Amino acid sequence: MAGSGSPVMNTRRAVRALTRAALDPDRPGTVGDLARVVATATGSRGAVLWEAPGEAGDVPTLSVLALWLDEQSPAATSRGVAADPVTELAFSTRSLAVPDDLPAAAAQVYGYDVTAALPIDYADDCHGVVTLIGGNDLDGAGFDTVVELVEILPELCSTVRERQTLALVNACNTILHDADIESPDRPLLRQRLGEHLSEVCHLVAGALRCTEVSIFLEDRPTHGGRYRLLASSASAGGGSSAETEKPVNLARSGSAAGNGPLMELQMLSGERVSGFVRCRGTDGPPHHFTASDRALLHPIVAQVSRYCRNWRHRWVISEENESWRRLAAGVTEFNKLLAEKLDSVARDRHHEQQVSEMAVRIVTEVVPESTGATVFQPATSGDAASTLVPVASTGNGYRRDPAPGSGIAMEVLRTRTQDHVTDQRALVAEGIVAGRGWLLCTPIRVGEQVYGVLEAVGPDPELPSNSAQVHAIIGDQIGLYRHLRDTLRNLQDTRHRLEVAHRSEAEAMEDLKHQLVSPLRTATDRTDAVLRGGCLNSRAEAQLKAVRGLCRKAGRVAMSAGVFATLSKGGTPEPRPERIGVDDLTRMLIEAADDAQALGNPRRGILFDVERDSVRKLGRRLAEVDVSFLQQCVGNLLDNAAKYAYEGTRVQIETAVTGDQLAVEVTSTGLPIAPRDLARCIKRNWRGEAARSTTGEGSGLGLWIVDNLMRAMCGHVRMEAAADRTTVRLVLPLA
Amino acid sequence: MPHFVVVEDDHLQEGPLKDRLESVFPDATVETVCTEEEFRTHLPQLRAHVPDLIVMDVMLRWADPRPDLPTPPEEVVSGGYYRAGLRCAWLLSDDALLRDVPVILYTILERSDLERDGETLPANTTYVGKSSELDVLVRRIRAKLRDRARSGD
Repeated sequence: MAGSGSPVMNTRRAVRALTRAALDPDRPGTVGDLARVVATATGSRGAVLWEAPGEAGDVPTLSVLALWLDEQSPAATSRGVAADPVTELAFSTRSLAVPDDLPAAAAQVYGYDVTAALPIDYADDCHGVVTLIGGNDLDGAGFDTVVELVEILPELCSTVRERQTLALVNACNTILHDADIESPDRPLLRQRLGEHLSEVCHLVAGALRCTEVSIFLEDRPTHGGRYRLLASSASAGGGSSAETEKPVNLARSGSAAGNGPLMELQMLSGERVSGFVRCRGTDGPPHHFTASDRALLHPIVAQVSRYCRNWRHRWVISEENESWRRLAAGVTEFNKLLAEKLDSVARDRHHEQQVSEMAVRIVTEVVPESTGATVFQPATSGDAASTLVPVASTGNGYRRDPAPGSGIAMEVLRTRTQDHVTDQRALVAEGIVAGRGWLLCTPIRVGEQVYGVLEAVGPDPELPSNSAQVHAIIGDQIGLYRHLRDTLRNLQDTRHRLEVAHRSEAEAMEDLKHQLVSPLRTATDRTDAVLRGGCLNSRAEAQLKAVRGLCRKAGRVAMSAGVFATLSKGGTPEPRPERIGVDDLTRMLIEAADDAQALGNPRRGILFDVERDSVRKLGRRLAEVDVSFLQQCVGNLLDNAAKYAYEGTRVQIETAVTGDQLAVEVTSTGLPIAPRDLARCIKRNWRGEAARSTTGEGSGLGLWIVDNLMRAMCGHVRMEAAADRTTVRLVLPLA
Repeated sequence: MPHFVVVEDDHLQEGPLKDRLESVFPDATVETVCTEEEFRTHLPQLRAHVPDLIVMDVMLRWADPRPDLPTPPEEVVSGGYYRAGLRCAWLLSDDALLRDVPVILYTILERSDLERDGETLPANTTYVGKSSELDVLVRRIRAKLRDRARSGD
């Protein structure tokens, strides 16, 4: 079709227009925009930019890089338009060519006559041609303009592509930045990564005018050679496909059978190919992938590669964190089981089985890559073990011989050091059935003591990253449990032996008490009889009273020994209750006071005085008590008064009746008791600071025994102290 | 005329012992001391009138309770009631004027109790168990007095 285009611009204006098209600050131009300016500046109805994209050594073939056609032009839909003879001539001669240079002047592209073709050397060392179509023949000024434009066109093409690349990189950056936002409700999921990278694929597909852009990622770093489709401009969700492919060896571009042009670029992680980006088909022109396209794709691939590498690191860390969290939860559960059944740990065989079952469950949960685990223990104890027997196991059937007598497990038992096997032949030799890639054996130990072996297997060719540590922790945990079990067994045995010994001692003490009490009672009774007979001088009477007091005191000591023995066995003194009235009580208190007086040091001048009027207030009421218990209690209180009262003190012994309670009270002035110590006075072996540092004597058992005897009679002890005045009150229920 | 000192905190034992000594040694002077504190306070008087023999109980109260009771020395607090008589014997042994006074440790404790943890008894001390008859103590006192007379003190 003949041309009737617009007038030719002058050179300066044309250059300005071309430069403006390339450097438009508002939007990055395209090479097609440059073709438009070249066409309009030269009065043409279209312009085609060709390039010869072949690799070195190939026969160069021109292909459309970009074109612009005016609105009246036929649609440029045909793929792979061949260069016209004028264009071919310009390309081969590397000089300006016009139709007149050819014998047959018919040269058309996209339905327009070719008016001129000029060779061009692009900035990426690719050669090509600029072909003007559908315009008038160029005059001198027109040629000057087009020559000038072609002169700056390579630089501007390069600028346009760089700006396109920059814009694309920025857009991808924005997408990946959004993908970086992580929160508990947005965990690191491969599917989410695929969604974001699919957006990147869409952007790249738009920039390269190709029909599909896909990103493939290595399935696992340890699974060299297997790649999985992660994202694609052709799929909405991305990453949902399970497609697996072999890696490409080199970045390439070319034509894939039936799918149009193909371009693939590797994603490198050091020396390893961690994935690749595949571009397929074009919505041209151009209808091929150009060197500029590869240049544009390179930074995007590097960017995606870097992002995927970082994502994988974060994912690994996240997975490890999750793994440690599961481990912590497992160990907590483990310890909870021990704590709940601590009492039965030492004896219960079933409990030991539960611990082992829980251990193998925890290791398979914490290390999801493991498909089987077993806790072994030696068939015989110690280093002489000849075989291992399974205590608990998961992943049944991974071992041909369930009770290994040799191999790595036995070696681990001997060396007490963790070890693993990943070699297939070694795994077969270990008796591990096919389909397993690793075997890890961990000693169950505490210090130098080894209790067994924790074994685990998995399908991967390498040991999972944190499995050694996890198994070591669980192995130590089981070891600690076994150690605890043994220690508890020893403790229980020791306690049992001590209880037996203690009981024997207590029984011996009780026997001594019985042997002592009878003769002392007899001696007391006989002394009483002599005293009642009268006819004694005062010195002899005092001596006999002292003897009687000593006998009673010795009787109380013997009885204290018996009570001590009963309480030490964990028993309670058994009272023999009887009802006593005012006369019995008065007699008992006077006897106790007389004994204390007879045994007291006369030089100290302590007086023991029973307030008989207070006792009479009991009237006809009766108290139900064990008389010997009450004698013991009152005697102990008066002993304390004699020991800790100041010289010349009057120790008051009186009673009080309140409601249905009778209180026997002993009040004295002597070594003070701090108010904070009042409650502690009745504790076994407790002695007040003043008592310890002044008199020094005593065992701290007297009030403890009183408290136990009172409680045995359904009564209690109350103490009051103000400065150096102390009252001890024995409270009993009235009948 | 022998001069005895009896250090005993139980008046029920101190009385009969004093009576026995006065009966066996009619011209003797028998002084009694009841507590460790009283013994320490009495030391200057003992230096002034050096006794011929001291009968020393081992388990002694530090003092009888009274409102103005002095705080016991650290060695008393740490050593305790069960070593009071031994502490008193060591005070005599360390005293230039009193170191030659024979001391009879008259105690219910066994001799092995007194020498536990490698402890040794001060020189010039003799052990007599309280479980023995009083005659044993009297014989030992006579022997000590003879020794003392021979040595010329």
